[in-house]
Amino acid sequence: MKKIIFFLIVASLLLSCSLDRTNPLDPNSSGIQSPPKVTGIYVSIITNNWLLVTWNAMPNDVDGYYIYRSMSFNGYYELIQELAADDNIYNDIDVDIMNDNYWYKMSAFKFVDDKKMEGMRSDPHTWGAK
Amino acid sequence: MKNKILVIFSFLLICISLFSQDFDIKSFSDPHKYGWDNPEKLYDARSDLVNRQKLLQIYEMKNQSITANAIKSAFAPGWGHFTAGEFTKGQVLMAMEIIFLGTSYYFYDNAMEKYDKYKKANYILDINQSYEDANDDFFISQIFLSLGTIVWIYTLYDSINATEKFNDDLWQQISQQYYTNRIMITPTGFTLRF
Repeated sequence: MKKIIFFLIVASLLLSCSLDRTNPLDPNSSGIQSPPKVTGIYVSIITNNWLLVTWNAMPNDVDGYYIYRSMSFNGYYELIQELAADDNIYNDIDVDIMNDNYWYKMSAFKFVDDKKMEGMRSDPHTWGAK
Repeated sequence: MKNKILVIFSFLLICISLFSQDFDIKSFSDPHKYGWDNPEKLYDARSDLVNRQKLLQIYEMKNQSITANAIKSAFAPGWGHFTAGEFTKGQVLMAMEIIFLGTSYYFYDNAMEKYDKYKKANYILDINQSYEDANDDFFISQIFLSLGTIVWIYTLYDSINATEKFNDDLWQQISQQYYTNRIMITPTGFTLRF
């Protein structure tokens, strides 16, 4: 019985360790709030080779935006542009809507020390849907 | 002052001589109290004592140190058991220790890789996911490390038992060999029994 108790103590001491949250951008360690989600995203067709992406700007809460694009809803979203905090439109002229589909996601970031903390990315948006 | 010391000393001498008993040489040298009713029994007892001393010399040459085996097991679990002749147990314990510590290191390495990703991440989902993945692997690593520690402690404890058993069996073996073999080589010479 004593042996079992001893071994349980050894096991519990070792299992009580966990990794430290040392990332300064981690809200759980630094108490920093992550940037809000970008809202009001709308994609509209200007020409066959020109899509316009608009959203609600939040210049007081964030320091900039990232815009991502994918050829499918569930595909890989590539970062295509970093935008300023007071921007609320993006002209994507590197498209061919006759042959391809395009989906966009956006996220906001803010500076923490010299690093950019990116908030939650939005749901995918394509033209004709809000 | 000197007179006082002389008086006290004389008093002590008188007390000692009054209360001391005479040395009973007869009872001291009485062979019957050891079961030696005749000279043959005395010679047998003496011969047995000499034989046991020879066996003890052989035993002291061949027996194993408990401390040495415990240190061997502390350094390499199972080594103490190999030395004490318990090869199967030694192999099993050594294999268990290697598996547990190896698995613990594997998960620890994975955890550190994911932890590095966590430290470099700046997207909130990546931060949370990387931390959780790293912590999960770290927890598994700790489980195997605990198991390895338990096996290590048990090996240390059991190597002591194995060595004690080895030494007990050794004495039995030496005694049996001595009384069954006709020729016996000892540190002081050799014995031939007819």
